Amino acid sequence: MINPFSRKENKISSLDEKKANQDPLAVEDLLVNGTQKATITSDGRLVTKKNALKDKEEHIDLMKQREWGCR
Amino acid sequence: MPVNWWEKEQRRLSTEINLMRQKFPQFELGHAEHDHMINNWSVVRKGQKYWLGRLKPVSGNIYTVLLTYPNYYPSGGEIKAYIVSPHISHCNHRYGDGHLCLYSNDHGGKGQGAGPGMTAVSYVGWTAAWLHAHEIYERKGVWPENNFFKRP
Repeated sequence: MINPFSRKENKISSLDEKKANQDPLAVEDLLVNGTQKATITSDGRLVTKKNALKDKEEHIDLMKQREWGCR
Repeated sequence: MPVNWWEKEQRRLSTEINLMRQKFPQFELGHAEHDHMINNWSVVRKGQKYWLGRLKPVSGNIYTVLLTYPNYYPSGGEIKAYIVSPHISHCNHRYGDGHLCLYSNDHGGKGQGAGPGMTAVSYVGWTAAWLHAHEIYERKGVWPENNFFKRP
């Protein structure tokens, strides 16, 4: 079956090149119970705002008090 | 003849496109020529606008993400986010049609959720956070979340 959306993905290489892999549990405290402010990088990594300020990449902030909706 | 939201709200569409190009340039805007089904979910209807792109959380796993605008936007509905691939089988924090449950606007707006100031960028950010939570769930079996009812 053809994925009708696959033709849209033409920037794969730039995403593949970014940053080494890390344990997801290492960023758990950025979602809950931590004291550091969280931010999202352009490729989708969750990092501390402090680390985000060290590079020139665009980020968006994530509120620690955010709450998931339905279960 | 009904007017599409992006024709009526051209400035809004330009804002969405500009912000997405700045923050998540790997995403591309599409216009559905027909209905699309993914994993037996109807994710885009004919005539709807959508964003398609990939996110790579800290794990290094790559997910293809789809964001669908509602037929009436921004006042007539909210953007829906789906994980196109890989298929995620669990149903934690998802609705019945497969779209992700990214936020709650309950509790006096203390949660980070939908609102007039939010754009597709907000939803991609929340989707990235959802993916982090999903990967933690896969490791621990528990969804990492703030729970207002259990707070001291």
